[in-house]
Amino acid sequence: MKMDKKGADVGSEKTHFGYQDVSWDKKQGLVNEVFDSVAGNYDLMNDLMSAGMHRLWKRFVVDMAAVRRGYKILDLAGGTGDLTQAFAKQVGDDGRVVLADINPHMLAEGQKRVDAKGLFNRVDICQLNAESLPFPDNHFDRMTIGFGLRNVRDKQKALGEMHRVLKPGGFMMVLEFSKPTTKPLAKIYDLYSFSLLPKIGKVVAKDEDSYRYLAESIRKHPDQETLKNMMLEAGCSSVDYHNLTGGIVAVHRGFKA
Amino acid sequence: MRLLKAAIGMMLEGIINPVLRLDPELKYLLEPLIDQRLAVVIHTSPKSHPKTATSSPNCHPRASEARAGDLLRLVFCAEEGRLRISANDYADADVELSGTLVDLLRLAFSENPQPILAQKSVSLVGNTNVLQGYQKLMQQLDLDWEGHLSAIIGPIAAHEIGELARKAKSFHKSSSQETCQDITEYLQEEARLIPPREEVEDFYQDIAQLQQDVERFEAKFKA
Repeated sequence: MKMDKKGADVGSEKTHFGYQDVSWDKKQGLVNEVFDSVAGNYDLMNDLMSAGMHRLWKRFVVDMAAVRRGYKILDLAGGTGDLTQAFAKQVGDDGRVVLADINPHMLAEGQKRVDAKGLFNRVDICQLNAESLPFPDNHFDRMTIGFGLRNVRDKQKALGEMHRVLKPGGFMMVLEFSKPTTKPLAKIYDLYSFSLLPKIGKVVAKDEDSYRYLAESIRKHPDQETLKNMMLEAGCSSVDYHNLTGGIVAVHRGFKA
Repeated sequence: MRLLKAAIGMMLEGIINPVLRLDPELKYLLEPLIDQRLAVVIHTSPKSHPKTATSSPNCHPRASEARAGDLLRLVFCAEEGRLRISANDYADADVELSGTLVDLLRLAFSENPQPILAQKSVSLVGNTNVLQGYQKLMQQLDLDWEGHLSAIIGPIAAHEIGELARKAKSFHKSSSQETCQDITEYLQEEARLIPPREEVEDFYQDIAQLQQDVERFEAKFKA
């Protein structure tokens, strides 16, 4: 029986969608429905849910990326394009940023914002599945996936693909919700995620279920060490991670030798 | 700490970039500096024998070499029409300046930075051309305060305030010069603690004349 890292039975085609077990084939469609629903209010909800902290988390990723002129960057699960915009300003006309997402509604929002900032000549928009990247080997200097890996069906496969398209000497950054490092914080976080968050979703976005899924999917995501090992297994020569906000969010950085 | 540094970078950008944008030529001033990184490391205390200055374009101060006593490392990088400021230590820089806050501010506002660098209270590693580029930017910036103010309070009021500010600046400059002159005259003419330039020159001329007379006498005597 083939198992993924969290014990989901790939062979019997069952995986998790939040706390529900669903068939492997259905997961992608269910995730798409969630993001079709939240796309219009995504940034507002991010601000409300994180009290604006998501801007600092993303800023930290941009700082860590240390991008220079002419770089090629892949922003996977880029959605509404926050990271893409920051990178596009740095790479200049000689560089390129690919804003990629599996969800067309999120991508449309991202494209609108990129166009509004006048960065369209540096940004390519691409709808794709992270498990099968349509790029050649050793192509990108940097790669980011911000709050998207937990929605990928086969995370190990996606990490392998990310490693494949990275240039030697480049690195990937995975910004994702993770496990709080202290028990009191974990308790507060659980209370916030399962009681308050869906209510905010119900009031602001008129969609309690999608925000409940978001909270549940965070709990099913691998913890810091597990994700580090997955990235090493995907081929990264070295991996480090940085806990932010007490481990509620972590940034993993994996290098390609 | 990482998030605090991220916040510091964002806050500094939020303060500095709107001020820089008061110069309508900013985009062109920044063009030669695009993608060139200047790191400024603020120490808590003066360092004795900091790193030797180099001017090699291939010498990049490594971000990972943080030292004990480093309070903050800021990396400035010109982008189109703005400065990007990062307080997280991941960006390598083309040139790195380090010193205490007071010494760095003295350097930033000094018209002639060479004496300050020579004192070694501020250390410099990396490509000095990049540093000169940023200095040139500071010197060439011409912030149109009056134009910006006029959008808020109207052109006539903004012009009056601008005139007041220009008069105050001119008064400060001339009174500083006069004060220096007065102090010099007091020390030279009244307290006689230091001789005036003309007296010193006369004295040296007298010595030179005496030396010539002695040499002539010596020549006659030997003859």
